[in-house]
Amino acid sequence: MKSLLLAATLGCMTCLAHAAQPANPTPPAVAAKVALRGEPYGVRVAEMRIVRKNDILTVQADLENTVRANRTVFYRFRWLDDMGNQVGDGESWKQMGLYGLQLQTVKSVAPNSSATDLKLEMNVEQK
Amino acid sequence: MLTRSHLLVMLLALSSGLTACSSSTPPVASPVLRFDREVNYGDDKAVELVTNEFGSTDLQMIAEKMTGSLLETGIFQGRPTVTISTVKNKTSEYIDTTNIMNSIQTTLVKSGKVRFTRSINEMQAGVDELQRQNQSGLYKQHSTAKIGKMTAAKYSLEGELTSIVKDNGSTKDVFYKFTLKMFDVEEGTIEWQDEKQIRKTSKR
Amino acid sequence: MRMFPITTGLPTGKIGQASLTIHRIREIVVYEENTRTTGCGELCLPPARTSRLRQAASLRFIRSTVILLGIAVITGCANMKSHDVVATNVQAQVQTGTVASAIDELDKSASSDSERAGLLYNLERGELLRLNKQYPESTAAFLKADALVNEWEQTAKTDPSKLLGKIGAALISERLSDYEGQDYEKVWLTTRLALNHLAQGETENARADIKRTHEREAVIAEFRAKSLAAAEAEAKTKGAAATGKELNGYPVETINDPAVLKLKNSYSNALSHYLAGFLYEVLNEPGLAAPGYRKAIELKPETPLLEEGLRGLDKRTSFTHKRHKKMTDVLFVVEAGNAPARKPQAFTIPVPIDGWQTLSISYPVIAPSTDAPLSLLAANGQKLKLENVVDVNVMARRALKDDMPGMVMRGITRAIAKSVLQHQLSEHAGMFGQIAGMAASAYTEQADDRMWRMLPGRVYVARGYLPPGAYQLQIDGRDLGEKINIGGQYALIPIRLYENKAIEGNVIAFGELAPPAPAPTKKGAKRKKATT
Repeated sequence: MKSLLLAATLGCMTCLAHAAQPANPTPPAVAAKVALRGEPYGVRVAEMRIVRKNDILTVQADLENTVRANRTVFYRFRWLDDMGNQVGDGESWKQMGLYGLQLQTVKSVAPNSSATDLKLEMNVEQK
Repeated sequence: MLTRSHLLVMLLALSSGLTACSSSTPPVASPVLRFDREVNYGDDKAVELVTNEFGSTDLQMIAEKMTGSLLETGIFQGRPTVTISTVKNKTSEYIDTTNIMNSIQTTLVKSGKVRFTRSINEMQAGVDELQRQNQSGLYKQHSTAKIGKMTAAKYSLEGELTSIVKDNGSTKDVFYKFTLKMFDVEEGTIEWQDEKQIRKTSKR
Repeated sequence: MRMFPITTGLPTGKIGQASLTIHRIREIVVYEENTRTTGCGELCLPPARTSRLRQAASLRFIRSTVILLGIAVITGCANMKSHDVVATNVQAQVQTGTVASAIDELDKSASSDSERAGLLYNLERGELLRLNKQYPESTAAFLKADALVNEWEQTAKTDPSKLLGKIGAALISERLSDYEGQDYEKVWLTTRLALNHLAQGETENARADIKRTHEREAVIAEFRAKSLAAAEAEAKTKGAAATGKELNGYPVETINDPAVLKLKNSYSNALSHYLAGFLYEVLNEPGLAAPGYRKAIELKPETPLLEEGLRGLDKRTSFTHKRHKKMTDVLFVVEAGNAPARKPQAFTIPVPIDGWQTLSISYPVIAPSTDAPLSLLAANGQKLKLENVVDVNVMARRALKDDMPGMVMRGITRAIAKSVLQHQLSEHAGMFGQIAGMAASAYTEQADDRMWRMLPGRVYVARGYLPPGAYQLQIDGRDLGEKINIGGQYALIPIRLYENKAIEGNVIAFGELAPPAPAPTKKGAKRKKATT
């Protein structure tokens, strides 16, 4: 009862964001590679494709905005070797806008051939 | 007296939970020397949005895209030699384009897939050292580096940075495009090429 | 943080509308004081107490103003001194006597340590020492000035209570406030430092100065972006079109509209940008040289010399060109005349106090330059065209125009405050008080005529290839004095030109040319001169 009341008092935007999240979350296999800080606000990582090209690991991730409001995503890939150690200096953070209901693909390439695994670090802003 | 202070401690613990510890005991001092003006080290990888002039994040994004693209094509089979030629700055901003190339070079060298030779700008220092070793008469004969043994580059990297700026007083839109080409020096052919586009908009 | 405007502690009386202006000033003061928690005095007291203090504050206001005026009259001789008078004397010494005697003249004007630590004194002194070829001393003076500018730039951003001093001083006289330097003077300062460091052979320091120059200018330009955009929009409605041009692949965008260019040239200066281009080129950093040349062109469109800077950049910095170069690439920087003067001019305004009274307010004015333009430089008869790149007169007049609204506001406030004071004095202290007040008021009401006066009036550049050797220089047929030696890959020659006198600065040479006579074997020559 109490939570309902609280939800009602909050803005419509947040209702939408929270309502959309459980309906269509990031698939568990992909979620294992995603380090999300805070709320996703309706943004999910729909798919992640990891390919070794010419001895170098490459990745593509589809970020999908499941709500109608625009979102801003901050992300970067962190590359790991077989021991789980970080490879290289770490990428710079990137800012990307996602329009309502848009799907955008982000790409990255490992800095050298010792990278065997990765993590997508991200957080979502509501504007 | 005693009961009152007890109560106070309990109240504090209740109201602020775990953080009560830090509020009741003084925080430990960090090993810094600081004056009035607050200075802090920041995340060197953070997205820089101070102004919409060319900034650190743009430099990093360009370097990452170019190295990623170069590495995934597999053009560097057999660790070929590469040199950096010119990077033209066609924007109206004072941007140290050599710095972008330095970042690209660093990442490529660290990848271990390629060898770089001295660029034109780095040549003088190399020539000076060779002359010092060979003409000063200070060194043992067999220990000096021989003149005329430098390895020439198979490929050369040439780049350019352009920008389109639109400003109506309240909104400023800047579009940057960095293009990088890798030429086969002997054949004069372009063996690889990529570009990175960046749009930055600011409102006043 | 308590922030309630207090507008009660003020002299009330028969001052009609005028009180409104004073109220506003007091409000600002109170606000600033409240945001700071220190040294509030009665201004920070809660509203209930202020009404009790109303009467006392009114008297205190008068008393403190009288004391301030008194201080200004007694000890303020130095502060109230006219910089115009000093600078005019010094300029006369430079032109008729020697630069050394001019330095003595300037030093006489600053008797105390605090005066010798001032911004304006160090700017003027640095420039004179530079003219006298005492480059290390000149650099030291400029660095002192630069430290002050930096300090102000930092505090202005973080500590708005700086304003307080300004307003307080403005109530007595503009001249009492600290001189903080005009924007264009700050740009000049780092440009001067760069030239000095070059003359001292410290190329890396000069590079840092040049970098600071364009970074500082970018901040100023950002600040002016709005007015520039408005001017450009207006120019376009009048039919002026932005033209895009390509010089050897480098794009250049210009609007050849007098109003737009005048505005741009008031805070930017083509010399600083061209010098940046030149120095980066010398240091073999064409990526940074290109925007320098480009910005210089955008400030002075259709100037062949500036356009050639960008068009020929790639060729000049190419490996092959440098190896085969037999002549020195010489840049002459000819600085002519003196920076204009701010002359105080008195205006009278009517003020509604006890009927109407007329009051005198003093504002500075700048007269347009009457110097004849220069056109031709000859080196041993070889003619090079001189192009005007900077007009300090235009910069100074624009800066004054921008300052004017604030100055007028402060001037009127000041006039009213002083007349209120005189009125109160005549009521409370009788005839003698009134006379004393009038004398103090007239003495303190003098316009702020401070500005960097040793700067040149106009700057011209000429550039060309000359074979190494000794040269006799002439400008528009006038001999400049002793022969100078030109050599190296690049050379920079500063010249200061007055009506009846020319001062040639030390030639700054960069790098070495390939040996003139071909070496025995072609291979050997190649190896010997690889780059630079």
